Amino acid sequence: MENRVEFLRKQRNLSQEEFAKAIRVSRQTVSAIENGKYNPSLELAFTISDFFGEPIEKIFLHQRGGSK
Amino acid sequence: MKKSFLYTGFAYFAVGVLFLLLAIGGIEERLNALFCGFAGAGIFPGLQMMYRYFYWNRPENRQRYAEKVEMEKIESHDERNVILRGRAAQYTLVWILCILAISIVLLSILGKLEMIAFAKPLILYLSVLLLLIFVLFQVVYQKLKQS
Repeated sequence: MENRVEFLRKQRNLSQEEFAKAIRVSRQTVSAIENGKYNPSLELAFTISDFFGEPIEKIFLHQRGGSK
Repeated sequence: MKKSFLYTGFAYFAVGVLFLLLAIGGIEERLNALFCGFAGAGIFPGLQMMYRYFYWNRPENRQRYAEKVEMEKIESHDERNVILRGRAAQYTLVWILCILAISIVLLSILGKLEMIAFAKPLILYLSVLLLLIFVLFQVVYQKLKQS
């Protein structure tokens, strides 16, 4: 699943560490999400969505029927 | 830092000193090495815990300690870390089961060839351990599935 987390974070001039602290996860998790190596849980996805103030479907771009 | 950390450190230290006295007292000489080991395992971690308590409770270190605790909390509850820990435990379990099974086969062969003594009790012990780990895994897995 693709996402716009890195773009949105950089748009707000936040480092991975600052962003990770704000959403209460480790910096490695933020890095893994941004690189598409890890898909966050629904709860974390909503936390990220709330943080950026954008709908979840505009941050996490899921292609239906596509591979995971 | 909580005061319980200081008390735990002191308890470790006291138990360590107690074992040291037992070792010096020479009540049972055959157990001296073991008592010395317990003494070391109690005294040094106890001293370290007490030092850490006083170090982190200094006014200039309190803020840094609060940040450290916060980071530790985030790291331990981080959802990806939780998943990775579960996966690591799963792989470790498979490895342990394989190592135990191979050890049982090897011991059986060596025992039959009379290359090692006391093969039977060792094989029995490892077999029970293997079975116990497997059964425990199934019980815990079923409990987690139902919860």
